[in-house]
Amino acid sequence: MQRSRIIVLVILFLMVSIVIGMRLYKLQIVEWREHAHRAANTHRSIMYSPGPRGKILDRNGTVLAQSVPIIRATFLLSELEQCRWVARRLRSLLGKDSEMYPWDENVLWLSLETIRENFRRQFKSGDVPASVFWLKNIDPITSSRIAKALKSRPENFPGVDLGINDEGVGVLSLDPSLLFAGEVGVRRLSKWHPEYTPDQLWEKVQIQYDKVRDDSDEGLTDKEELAKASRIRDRIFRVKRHVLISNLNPDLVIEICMNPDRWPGIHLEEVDMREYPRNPMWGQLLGRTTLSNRKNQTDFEGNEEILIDQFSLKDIRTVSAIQNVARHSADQVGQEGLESYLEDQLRGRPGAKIRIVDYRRKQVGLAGTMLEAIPGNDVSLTVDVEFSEYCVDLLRDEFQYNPPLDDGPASGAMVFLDVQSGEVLGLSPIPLQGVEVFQDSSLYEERKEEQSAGWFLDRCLGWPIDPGSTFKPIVALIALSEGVLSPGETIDCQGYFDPQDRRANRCENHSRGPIGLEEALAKSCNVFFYKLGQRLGLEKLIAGAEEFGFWQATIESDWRNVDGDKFHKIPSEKYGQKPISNPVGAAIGRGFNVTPIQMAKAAMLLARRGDVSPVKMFQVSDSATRASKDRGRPVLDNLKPDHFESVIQGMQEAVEYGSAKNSRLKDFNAAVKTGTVRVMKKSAQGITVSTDYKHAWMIGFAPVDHPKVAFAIVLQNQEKSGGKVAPLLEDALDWLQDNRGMKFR
Amino acid sequence: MRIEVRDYLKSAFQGWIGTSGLILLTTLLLLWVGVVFVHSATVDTGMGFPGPYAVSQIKKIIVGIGAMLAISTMSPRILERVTPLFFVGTMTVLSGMVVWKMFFGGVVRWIRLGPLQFQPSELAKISTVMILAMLLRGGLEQSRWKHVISILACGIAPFILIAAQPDLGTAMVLVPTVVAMVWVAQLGKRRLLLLFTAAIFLSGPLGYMLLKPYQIDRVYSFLGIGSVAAEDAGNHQVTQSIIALGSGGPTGKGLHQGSHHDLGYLFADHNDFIFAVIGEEWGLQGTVLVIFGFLLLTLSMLGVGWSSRDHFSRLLSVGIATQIFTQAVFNMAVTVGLLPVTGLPLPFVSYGGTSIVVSLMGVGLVIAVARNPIDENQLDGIRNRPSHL
Repeated sequence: MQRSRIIVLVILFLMVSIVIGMRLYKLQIVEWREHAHRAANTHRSIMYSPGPRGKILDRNGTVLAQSVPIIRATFLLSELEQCRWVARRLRSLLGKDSEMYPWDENVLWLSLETIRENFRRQFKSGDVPASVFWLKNIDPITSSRIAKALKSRPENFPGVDLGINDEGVGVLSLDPSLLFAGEVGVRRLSKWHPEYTPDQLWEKVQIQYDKVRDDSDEGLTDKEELAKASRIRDRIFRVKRHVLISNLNPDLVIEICMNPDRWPGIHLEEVDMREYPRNPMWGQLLGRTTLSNRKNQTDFEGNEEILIDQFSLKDIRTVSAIQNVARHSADQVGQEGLESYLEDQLRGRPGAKIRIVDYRRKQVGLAGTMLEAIPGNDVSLTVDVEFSEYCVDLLRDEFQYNPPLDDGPASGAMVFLDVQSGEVLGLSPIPLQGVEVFQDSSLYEERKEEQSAGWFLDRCLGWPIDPGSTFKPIVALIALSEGVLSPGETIDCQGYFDPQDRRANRCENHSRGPIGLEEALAKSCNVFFYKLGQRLGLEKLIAGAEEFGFWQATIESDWRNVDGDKFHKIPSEKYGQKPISNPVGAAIGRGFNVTPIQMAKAAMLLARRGDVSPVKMFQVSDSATRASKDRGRPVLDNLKPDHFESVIQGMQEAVEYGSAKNSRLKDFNAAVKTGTVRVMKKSAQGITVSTDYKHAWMIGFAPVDHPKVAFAIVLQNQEKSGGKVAPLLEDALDWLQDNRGMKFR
Repeated sequence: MRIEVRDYLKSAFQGWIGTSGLILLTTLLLLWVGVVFVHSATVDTGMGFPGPYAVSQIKKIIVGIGAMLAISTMSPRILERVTPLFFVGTMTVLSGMVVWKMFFGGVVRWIRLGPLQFQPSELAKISTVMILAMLLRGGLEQSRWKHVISILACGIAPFILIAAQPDLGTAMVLVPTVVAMVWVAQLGKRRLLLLFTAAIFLSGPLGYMLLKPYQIDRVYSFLGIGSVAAEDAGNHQVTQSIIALGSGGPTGKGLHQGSHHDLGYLFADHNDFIFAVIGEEWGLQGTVLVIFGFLLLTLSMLGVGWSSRDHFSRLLSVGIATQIFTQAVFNMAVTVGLLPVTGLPLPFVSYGGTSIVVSLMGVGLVIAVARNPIDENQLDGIRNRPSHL
């Protein structure tokens, strides 16, 4: 009978074995791939790297903006700050119900914080003890348990040592240099970066640590909010790498790479920094980049773009599928200027590296590339930086000898366009402002307050002012087109427009008597154009001027930005203000404002004899070029070639005997129109009064036959008249001749 | 003298062919598997064999084999004679540990004697089997009540003393062991009923007194009705074990190629979760082989019990076999997620000192029974009758 019961036991054991076997079959055969996948996902950590941002180049390939890799030191709070972990683990080792060790985790942690405070003082004085007593008289049983834990996982108790005497009683001591190695490491960074004090560096850690304190979500009662707060804290503590120092000293990089154990919790990351080799040249135009801010991130959401390094994606197929719409939190994002305007072209797409991590999330072995980052496209501008810098120097030299009359910065602009292609050749605004203003908060505030100085505005594109007499050629062509001026017609100028009011609207640029169009342009007769303005009326004047490109975007872009068909304007460009009344004054360029680039475009259209061409600043491939709907059409209806020749003749005569007769512009066969605008301002009583300041203008093109360049130059807030701008133009044309092989004769 | 030595050596080497040899061979194979995978679990790839843990394991195996061989030469009669002393000795030690714990607190499972330390609860498992084999064999002149009380006392006392350490896992191994031995012993129906009723009656208060909150949490988390934190803590180890084991697939990743435990995701990979390491590196083929090894060992031991004519020997074999198999099954069931975490090592395979030595001592007891069968002429009619009403 007993034997039969043994058989029952045998059967029972067999059945149990079969159950275990079936479970193993399920795990290791049926669910094998699922568990293999889970294991691989657990071991794998995907590290995303930002895609390199494209460069901005000038027409000759000179780098204007580029990304350079820098190494920055970051820290992971959970690895840096061990005290809390040590206190928690020791508390569990001491046993829950023990009356011998009544302290909770918080009390133990506070005792460690006290030791830390003492350690800081000793560290400053250089007298750091090798060991500090922490807990004494630990009973043998507990000592044995602690010893076992220290032996099996020493990395969980950095700097903690247990001494046991003959009776088995234990004493816990600490090596503060090891326990607080994270803090020591952070403070020690200032040796290589003296621009930071140790306290300043540690403060960065303390700020994050304060965010994850257990009582930091006091007052929250909603479960969802509590869970959300907990997730945020967890992310700050365990996941997010916080920046300590950017652009690390290379010696420090080597030190950390060679001795990572001396820098627990500190990681090195390679990120890109945007560099502007020609800074401050075109600072306002190029703009700047920063890491993405809240506004950017809101825009990303609107564009259905994601920050890839904030997702836990593990499948390469998913990562590569979203690569095109992915961004990285370390991406440099254009905030202003061309950096912002060209964001879609310049931005790179992030790549992914895969690394194997152990249970402490520490990398094991080398990282492998999963997906290559896609660099952004380079963008070439049509502008010549060397020529433009030369012109900036010309402007600065001019103001050095003839400082501006007000306390503001020297202000002026020179714009040169290629007549044949419509490309912007030279763009030279002063004052220049580069990225340094964003790195110095006091400078930034100072310049922000000086609104009238317009530091943040590009004088070529974004600083509209009255054009003065340089507007007269345009008025002439509008009048000819509208038929209010006949070819060869003369108008009698007695020095005033209105016989009833001879003090207003005067002309003192030439002798009295009848004057034709050519002479009126050459000598800049105001009365001639007052009459034209009166005849045209404001509406026709504005409509005609708009055909020349005034009060609208001048630079054409061939890229479609986010909204599909809508072409967004260049951020630096402003359009100016149309005249709202007084066509008489408007006809001589008063009562409204335009930008130098609009004037240069008008000069270009004159040079092309009315053949419309867009103004381009970007060199694009043929596939990206769209056919301009405006190219090739005449700028105004009813204009004949001799109408243009009359106006151009007048501009040539300005060089020969007119307002620019004292220049060398004849050598370049140039046709110019000068303008002098007296700056008006509002007095304290609100009355508009004249000042001693003038804006000195000159527009034109050269050579007259087969023109190569069109230009617009203005010197602001100084005492000279338009004709005095000629030497700058001569030097610029000389430079083009000598350095770019342009021939003007 | 020479003849005595020759006779002793002759008796030492005879009786190894057959079931004893099979038991020894299976045990040695399991021990070898243990050494190999303990080495794999504790050293980095490329480190020579044996590593420090494997060396330590081998040393303990040598001690255990020595003990096993020594015990295997003993006759069951001698074993029976020393049983009461052995049992009283282990219970005294366990009681002393509990008293120590009451005065000084903490967890008391180990006794250190100089450089050595051992776990008395392991010895208590063996002594419990032996004393129950003696009590259940029949032929004792005891009243029904006294018999039942003796069995209860000798079954419950070690359970309480071990569980109070606290070491509930080891204590739980005694339960199926005792049940199996009582089952095979063919107690009379009334004694069986009394025993069963008393056990049910006592289990409630015992559970209340002995179960610690974290042990209750483990049960709840296993059943999926515990707090999230307890569930996470309890399930994490088992989850990692299942991932390691499952990712091994049919043939495993290869020796030293078990990335999941190698990267530290599997804690206690060289003792409680060594089966997961085997599953990861050796695959289903390895885990099935290990189960087969334990099954073969257990069935061989039960075979020894089957062929024994002496009730003590039979019950001893059944008890040891059940104990080894139960512990193995508990460990494997935890690893594959069928039971909550118990902290029981896999016999012969897990890294450990006392567990290996005592398990080998248990094997030695069974081999002693197999090699020293009771002669038919020595059968004691009283001793070989089952207990009756």
